[in-house]
Amino acid sequence: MKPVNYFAFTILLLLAFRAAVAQSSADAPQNQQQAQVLLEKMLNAEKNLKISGEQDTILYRPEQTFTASQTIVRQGDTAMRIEYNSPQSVAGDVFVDNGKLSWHYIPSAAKLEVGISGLGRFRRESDNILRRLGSQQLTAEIMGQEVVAGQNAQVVQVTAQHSWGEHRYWIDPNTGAQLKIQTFGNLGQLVSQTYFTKITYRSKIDGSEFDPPKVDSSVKIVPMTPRGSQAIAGLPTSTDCGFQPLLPSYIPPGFAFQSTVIMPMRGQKLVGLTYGNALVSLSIFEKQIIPDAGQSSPHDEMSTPRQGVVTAIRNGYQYILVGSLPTDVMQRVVQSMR
Amino acid sequence: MNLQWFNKQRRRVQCQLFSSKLSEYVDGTLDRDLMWQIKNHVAVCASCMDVVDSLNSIARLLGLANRHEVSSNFSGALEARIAALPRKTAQATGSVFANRTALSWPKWSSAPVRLTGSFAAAAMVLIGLLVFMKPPSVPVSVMMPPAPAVVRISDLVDQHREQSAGDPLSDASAQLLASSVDTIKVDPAMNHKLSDDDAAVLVDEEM
Repeated sequence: MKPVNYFAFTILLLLAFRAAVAQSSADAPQNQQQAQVLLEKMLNAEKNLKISGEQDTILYRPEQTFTASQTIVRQGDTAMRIEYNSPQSVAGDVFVDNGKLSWHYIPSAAKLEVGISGLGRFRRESDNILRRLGSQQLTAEIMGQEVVAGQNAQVVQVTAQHSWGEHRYWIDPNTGAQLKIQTFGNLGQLVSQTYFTKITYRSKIDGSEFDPPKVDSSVKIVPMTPRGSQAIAGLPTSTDCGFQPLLPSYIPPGFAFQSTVIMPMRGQKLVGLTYGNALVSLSIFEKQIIPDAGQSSPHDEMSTPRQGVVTAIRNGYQYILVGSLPTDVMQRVVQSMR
Repeated sequence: MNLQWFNKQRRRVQCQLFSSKLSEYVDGTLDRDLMWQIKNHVAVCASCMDVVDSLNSIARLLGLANRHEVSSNFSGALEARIAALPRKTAQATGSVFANRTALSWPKWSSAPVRLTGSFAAAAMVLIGLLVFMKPPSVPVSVMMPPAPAVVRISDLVDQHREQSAGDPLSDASAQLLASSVDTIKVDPAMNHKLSDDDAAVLVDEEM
């Protein structure tokens, strides 16, 4: 080949490479845009879709893997019912949320827990997520397609930008139904997955399917959260807590305040603050230490009693942090409490 | 500060406004807007939440009670007992209605006595219904345990999961299962004690 041909060939190669790069960079936003549309469709479907079916849930823990199968009936964001079929330790457990109240019947403990519906929070947070997607705090990307429970699904990966959290969703592009979900930990490890093995789209669901679980009179009825627990709007004040609550001056990037709960405890109050980025959340529980008469305040210390939990004593306060964040990040949050 | 003060005042006013509506709220008979407002209020007001929980427990227990048909002569027997009841009471207490109540039921003519008779009839019907219904074996007051003396770390993990499960992008089924798994003392399938550590770790004692 003549040198001039080499030159022409190199030029052509460079042009082709540039065209490919330009094409892929043009594809990336298009892919993200499609993923965002799918995710929006999924959130809308979760609000409206009437479905029933069989699901498997797998929890991946360092010490063991735990698998359960359950029957689920769901009427958008207004009602749902889950009945566990296996394993033996949870088989027979029934969870019902009728949009007003929720019940968790645990036959093995002869206990029926009653609480306020959690579906309202779902409604409120959906719009928040769409805003975060719009502002690029969360990014969505289509990873491919698969068949789940006999339905075609697009796989969408959602990642928190400059922060922790990665979830994957298998979304039916026709209905928006979430057929499968995988959540990942801060080291990229699979933490949990839930998927339909059988799904039926329904036009109508009888309200009686969301009746409270039928139990006999020997079953103890208890509130889901400790008596007196109080969710309050906004950040707590010293009047709410009985002491001056401290707040973190550092929270992980992309995280925002979500809620406050105040729990009574041995004549004192324990305050819980939750922050999150829509994929991962962090709860900070705190209480003031009141030393017994004649005793000095305990020394500052910090420990990690179990995965995802950091406990600390600092400047006369006790802290318990719970969340799927790296330990050093949670420790940094504790150290920033002011 | 002003916003917090405003929120507190708003909650207080809502308590006064909604307290008489909580029963209808539990029954779901209010209009949609009011249901929504009360639901939002109950979610942030512990005292109203307690009332709603109690009302719901009562409704559920009454719903569970077996219903029995009354016997064919129930109405007649009830009327006879009602007819007998005021006369005895009046005679025993020397009430000013003694003369009137000495008359039989159909001959009562004055409004106060008719009213008293109606109340008595309503009370008897209620008593009759309660007698014929299976009483709950769990007193309502026992249903709400007192505030815990200590809070375990696992309780706080549960509280955290409860918050997280409401996130639309979370794996709510996994959160729910994790809570169920962790409350099991012994998992017979794996013969593995899952929550011994939690049981031993009390927030107060650990730190």
